[in-house]
Amino acid sequence: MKAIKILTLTLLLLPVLPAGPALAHASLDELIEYTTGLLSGKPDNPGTLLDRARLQLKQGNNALALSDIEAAERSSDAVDVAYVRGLYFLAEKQRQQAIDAFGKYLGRYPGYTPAILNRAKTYATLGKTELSIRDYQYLLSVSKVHSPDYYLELAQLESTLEPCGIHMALKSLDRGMENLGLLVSLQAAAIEFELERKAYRMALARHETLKPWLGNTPQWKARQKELIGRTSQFADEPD
Amino acid sequence: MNNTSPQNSKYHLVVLFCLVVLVSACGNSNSTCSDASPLTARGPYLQNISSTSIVIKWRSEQQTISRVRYGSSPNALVAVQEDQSIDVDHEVGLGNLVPDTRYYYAVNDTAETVFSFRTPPVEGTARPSRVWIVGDSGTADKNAKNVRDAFVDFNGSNATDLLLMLGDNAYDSGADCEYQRAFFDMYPATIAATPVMPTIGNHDAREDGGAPYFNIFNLPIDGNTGGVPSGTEAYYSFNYANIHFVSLDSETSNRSPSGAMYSWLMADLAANTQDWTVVYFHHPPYSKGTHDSDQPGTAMADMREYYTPVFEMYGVDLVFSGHSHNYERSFPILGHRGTSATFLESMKTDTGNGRKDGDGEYTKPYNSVNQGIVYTVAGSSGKTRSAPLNHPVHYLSMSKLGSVVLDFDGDQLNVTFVSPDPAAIDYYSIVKTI
Repeated sequence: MKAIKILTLTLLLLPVLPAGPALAHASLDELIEYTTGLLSGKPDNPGTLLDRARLQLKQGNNALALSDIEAAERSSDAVDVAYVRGLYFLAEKQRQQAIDAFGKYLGRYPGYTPAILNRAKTYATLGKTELSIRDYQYLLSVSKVHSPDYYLELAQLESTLEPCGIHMALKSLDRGMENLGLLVSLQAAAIEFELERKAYRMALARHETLKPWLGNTPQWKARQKELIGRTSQFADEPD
Repeated sequence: MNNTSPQNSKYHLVVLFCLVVLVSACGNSNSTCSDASPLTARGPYLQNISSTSIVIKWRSEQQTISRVRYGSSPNALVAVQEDQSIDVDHEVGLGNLVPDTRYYYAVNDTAETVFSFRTPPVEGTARPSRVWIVGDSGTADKNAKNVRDAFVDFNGSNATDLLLMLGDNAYDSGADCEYQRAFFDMYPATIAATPVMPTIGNHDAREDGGAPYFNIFNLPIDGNTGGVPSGTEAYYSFNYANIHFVSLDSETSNRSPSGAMYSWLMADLAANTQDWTVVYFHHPPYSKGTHDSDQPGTAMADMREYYTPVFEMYGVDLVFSGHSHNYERSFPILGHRGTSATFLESMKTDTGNGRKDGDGEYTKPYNSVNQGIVYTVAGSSGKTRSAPLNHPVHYLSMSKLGSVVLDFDGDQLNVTFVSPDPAAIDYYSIVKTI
């Protein structure tokens, strides 16, 4: 009888009690609360600890994130936790440690693109351009989906290398357009590089390729006029 | 006190049972699904429409070839397009269609069922067109059903030409099985007749960087349906009749002005010659809903600071977002880049409600730039929650379930918020002038 009363009461309370997994699509605070609820049942679950650590990092609670990461390391192993530890180091601006952590993770999971991209960007921030380039090239070799940004960011890095960085950058942009089709975002960057190396005719030729889409716009026409002017005024530098 | 007596154990068991029932009931629609479970048939659904082509996709429970029979009469599906490769996921492109024509079709798994769609007119041609917009609809629960049913009632027997989804289309992580429940099982009739053009939300990107989203949807990347090629399904544009639609990626792509999306958008909008321009993406530039766009360093702030100047420069008419689980609709505004505290009354280009039976419709000249833009947060198609809802750009803010309907008709656009709650009302119009 008592049991039936409890059941009845519980069912009556259904509408006012919080949902379980249903609330996972909520604010960061709520997601943290939700993962905390999950951990109350299984406090050592490394996956949930890492989920909460990432949420804490997003929320700016780096110390709380570290505590979860360390707990996950105790119940899992340091390599599996290394990617999130790398994110923690990034949040703390400890960039070399972040690179080491991403590298450790990639040693076991070499195709994990977020770790590759994060390491590439971190190398770039530290001015380690060649290492960053190597990671972008690696990213393009393993990633199933190629974003135009990968090629653009790679080209921007390559263009800073002496003596033939711009040439490398143009090759990367052209490779991007071979794979993804002719793109304004990549061709516009290529035009700038052509101008930088004083290859005015090439810049104009690249500009002409955008005519089918942009030929009627005042911006395209003005740029064409400018490029024709430069082409006739200056001889191209030898490639 | 000893709590381990048999009687107490029985008591605890009953409580435990009740809790299991409770969690199961509350979380039923969103409990973790598994992509390892047997495949469920899905679709058909329509993608990548142009005035002369369309892509039809579906999933069968058994591996088969892909075959679509189609024609301009339901009783004469005389044309056949097929792919002999054997698979469960099917994708068939139809070409050489006649613009502005209704076609009937059947796919091999549903040979008894005849569906239909209507091709748009030749690009740039005005035709009355209805667009349904859902935001954060992926709860797969009663809320989403109620929003859907409210739209179905509102729509009656009218055709719906496009379905736009504002992201977070399948909670919790955009897994394939979550899409099954939140999208395929939720809108089967609509998606068999109406092309779906989504944008990616933060939850859609959780599963393998959005891999299921990109597998499910075929989105225009090469400019074949209008617009400038983006080279990526993450962001794209297309034309429908005399309307240009732009779907941006505020979640996974580089949002900075040095990124590819930004330079593509500038070119795409510069090349756009359509009468109307609608832009949509997940993270709202102006919201005091369940997310606060004043938070610095967020996708919301990036979209406001970097992208709203571009929208204004190229004459965008309407901007839609989700993310906040509320409905917030702005006045036509111009030039607001900062936090809500920096908004000035002078940034409103019209201080009315935009209603013909109220303060009058909003007006703007054709092909004009630097005119007011109406921003709408419509992330309440699956759930809603109380929030401050006091962003000053908005004419109206409310925590009400619903979706948005756009009715384009020549020089007039009527916008309606459609809610299961009859007391939740918003509507307004924009009229283009010469």
